[in-house]
Amino acid sequence: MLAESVIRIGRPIMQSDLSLEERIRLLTDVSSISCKNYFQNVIVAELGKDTDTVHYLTIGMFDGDQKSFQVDARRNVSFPITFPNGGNPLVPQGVYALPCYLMWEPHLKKMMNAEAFAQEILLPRLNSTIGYRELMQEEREKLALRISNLLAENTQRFLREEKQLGILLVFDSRLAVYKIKEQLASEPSDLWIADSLCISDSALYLDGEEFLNQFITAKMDEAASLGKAQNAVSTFSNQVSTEVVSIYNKSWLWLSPTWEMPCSNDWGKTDWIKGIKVDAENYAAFLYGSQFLKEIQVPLSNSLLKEMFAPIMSVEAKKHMKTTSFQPIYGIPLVVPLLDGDSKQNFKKYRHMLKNQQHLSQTDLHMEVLAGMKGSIIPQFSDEHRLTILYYSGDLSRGDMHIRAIIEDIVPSIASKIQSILWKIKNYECGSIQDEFGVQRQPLYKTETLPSLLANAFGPGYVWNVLQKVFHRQSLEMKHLFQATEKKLNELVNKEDYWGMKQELIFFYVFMLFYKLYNEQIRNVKGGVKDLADWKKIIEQYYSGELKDEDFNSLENLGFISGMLLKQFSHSYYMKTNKDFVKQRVMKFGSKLTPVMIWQQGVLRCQELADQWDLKLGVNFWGVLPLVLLGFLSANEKKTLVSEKNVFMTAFWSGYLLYRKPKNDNDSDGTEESIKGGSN
Amino acid sequence: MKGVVFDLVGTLAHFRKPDTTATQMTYPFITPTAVKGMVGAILGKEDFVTHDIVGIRLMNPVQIVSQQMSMLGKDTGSSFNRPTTIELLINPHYRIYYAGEENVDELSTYLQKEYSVYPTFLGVAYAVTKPKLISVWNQVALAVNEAYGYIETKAVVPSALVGELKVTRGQHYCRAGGFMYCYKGARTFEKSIDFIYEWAGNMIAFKPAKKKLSLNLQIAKFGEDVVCLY
Repeated sequence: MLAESVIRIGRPIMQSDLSLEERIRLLTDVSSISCKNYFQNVIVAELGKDTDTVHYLTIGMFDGDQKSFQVDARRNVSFPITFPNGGNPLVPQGVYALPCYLMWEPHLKKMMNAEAFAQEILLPRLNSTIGYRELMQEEREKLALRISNLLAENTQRFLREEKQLGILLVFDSRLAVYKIKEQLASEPSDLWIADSLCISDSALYLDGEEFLNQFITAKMDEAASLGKAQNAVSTFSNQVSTEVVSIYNKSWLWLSPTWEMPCSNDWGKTDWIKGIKVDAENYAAFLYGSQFLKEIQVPLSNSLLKEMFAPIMSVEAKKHMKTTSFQPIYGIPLVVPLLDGDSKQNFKKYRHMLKNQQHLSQTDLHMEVLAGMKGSIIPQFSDEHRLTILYYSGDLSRGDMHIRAIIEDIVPSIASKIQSILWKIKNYECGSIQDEFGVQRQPLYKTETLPSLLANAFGPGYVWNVLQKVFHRQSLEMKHLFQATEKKLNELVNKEDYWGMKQELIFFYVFMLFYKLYNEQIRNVKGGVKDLADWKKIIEQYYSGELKDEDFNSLENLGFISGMLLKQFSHSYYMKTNKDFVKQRVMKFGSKLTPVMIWQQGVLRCQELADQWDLKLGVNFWGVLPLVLLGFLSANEKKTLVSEKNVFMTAFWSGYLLYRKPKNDNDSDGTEESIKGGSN
Repeated sequence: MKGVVFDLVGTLAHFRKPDTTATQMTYPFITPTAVKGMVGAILGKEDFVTHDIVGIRLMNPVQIVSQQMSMLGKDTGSSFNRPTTIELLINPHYRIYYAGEENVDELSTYLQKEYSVYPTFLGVAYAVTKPKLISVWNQVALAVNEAYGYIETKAVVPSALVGELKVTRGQHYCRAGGFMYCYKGARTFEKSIDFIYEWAGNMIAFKPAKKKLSLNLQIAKFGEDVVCLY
């Protein structure tokens, strides 16, 4: 269950030495960016013994340009507001731990009408406030009217023509969460609200510890609306607890009962307690955990979403997709111990996750590289932990969210090794591969993060599945990559976009290298695919004429060598005829090039055309040609020219585009630069 | 304690995590309550409650895919359909070890006759399965912690039983937490249980935890097979 993981994350945070202010900041929305403008108009209704007064405060200040409001981070914790999740924010939602309410424009305007404000806005909120639960309804009505009258008398101090948002805090010294003390006589748990206007030399304080207790109680009360029970067994502690409540609630909207499922048909409105039920301690841990996860969630960037979900079979189709065409996706990393129990060390690491911009270390897991989550860092955890990555789309604030993928049980050291491979490729190998193809070195965005690399290789339909396979050290099937690469190369060659073809092959060989390193370093499997380093040996042997029969034992080799062979032939052919051999003689009118066409219309005709045009070809060419022809005969017998054409064609274009005329080759008179389409 | 062993094989399965509402996520393998529910279906006992205990072994690797489906109706209102993401288990194959004194004989008879009163399925109605009897045991011996040495099992292990896990290179140990443990009847559940499992169903070696357990967990032998029962 997700809830079980959330509790296991929340428990060490709850039991940590987190300061009072940090706890309030974590559990409430005082630091939420969407709440900052409410702090521009903070109205404190101070209820005294004899007289009542109103404080009008601005908790923060505008920037120099007067456009952006910055909340005072030292004082905002004294006004612990909670932004409503879903539903109509104008009506009271849930249970309030103290009388501190968010005020929208209609609320503030209504303050001018004391009676209406009392009945329609204030009283429903007081009814849902923990501290006023014990009062009789009449007392609450009187209190609402008293506060409303006070506010109505003072509206000229804080109401303005333009649109306003604000916070109303009712300071009622009868409530346990408040304290009045002499100025400068506060304790660490006292959070200064303002100096008293009713009692001289005194100040109003919020009792932070008491507030936290009331906050948990308020959330428990919210959960109890779907069911509670006394002396029942808590689902997660497996122990009897004096009171347990349903876990389905609005604190963690993933669990909000937005529709009847998974509620049993036999359950009534408050029968959810028959399912999952939690005691106060686990519920508090659940709150800490859920708030923490909200803090560390990260949206995937639009450019990454395009890389992940644009079609990969067509270069043109991908080019024309807008980065804004994709539904936003958010990612959340969770780390919990594999076995039971919590580690006290976990809290320090969780804290490091919150402060992820500082002190980036090589040993940390950079979730941008591994999971596309920018700025998200997982500190080094031992392999006694498991990392889970959760991707969802939709609007969490409305409870309308859909989990796209959940990749569980990732071993931290495996993730770290994958990260090292990706770094190595990005920092060292990618440039070398670009050099081999004669392309200027530049960052290759689609190879820099794992989701993008895998999505471009396997296609959008396989992203999550392959991502999970990689994190779980499973084998990958390469047929999709060959299929996609061959299709794109064919599309590009018909447009004579040789630069584009090189880009596709560069990606292909970056992926091949990743695949090779992944197999060697993570799966302990050697061989299986050819990367550029393997082809370099073949290229050298080709130039020196040292290729032997056994070098043609695979279709991939045959494709690569025939690509080099035809490119060498093309050079000479072009110098004599001023025509591109492959385009004019082999492909014919932009047709789709196949291995059989390369064999029958290309390689088989080399001898005849060389004689006809008296082409000057290197000695090595004549040594390789018969071996290639024999290789085609053999492949034709095995019928692999058709069944493995993707593999052949990818290797063919690799050979074709990697061939360089050796500097000491004086047998032909063409230069590479003069060959049309031979380089970009 | 008597025992019966049977296999459950299918192409699809879905055992919903009850705390996922909008998205329907699945546990990575069949839950103990689903196993007992299936036994109730075979025997034709509605609202089946039992003290018998079960063990689960993964015969195929855990494979999960996400699929977006159009589920009919939000409620009885006007909404026609609702796009819903659902996780599905692919090619599930479980070996179930069922032990106790209440239903083993009857279950063995039904399985031998390949008979079931109600249809049996792997978590959802569109994942039908037919249980296949493997063996019947008149006496299942409890393996009493084997002097706190390593216990080796291919079945999934309740995490509460694990004091120390012996890590074998190349194996992928996973955790699946928060399975509902006990069905009390009338759609009421109590307690939860967490498991450690090896992704492909390979051997798990562990030393039992030396602590008092709040759940009724046993380690038993069905012939050569060592199995944790819960």
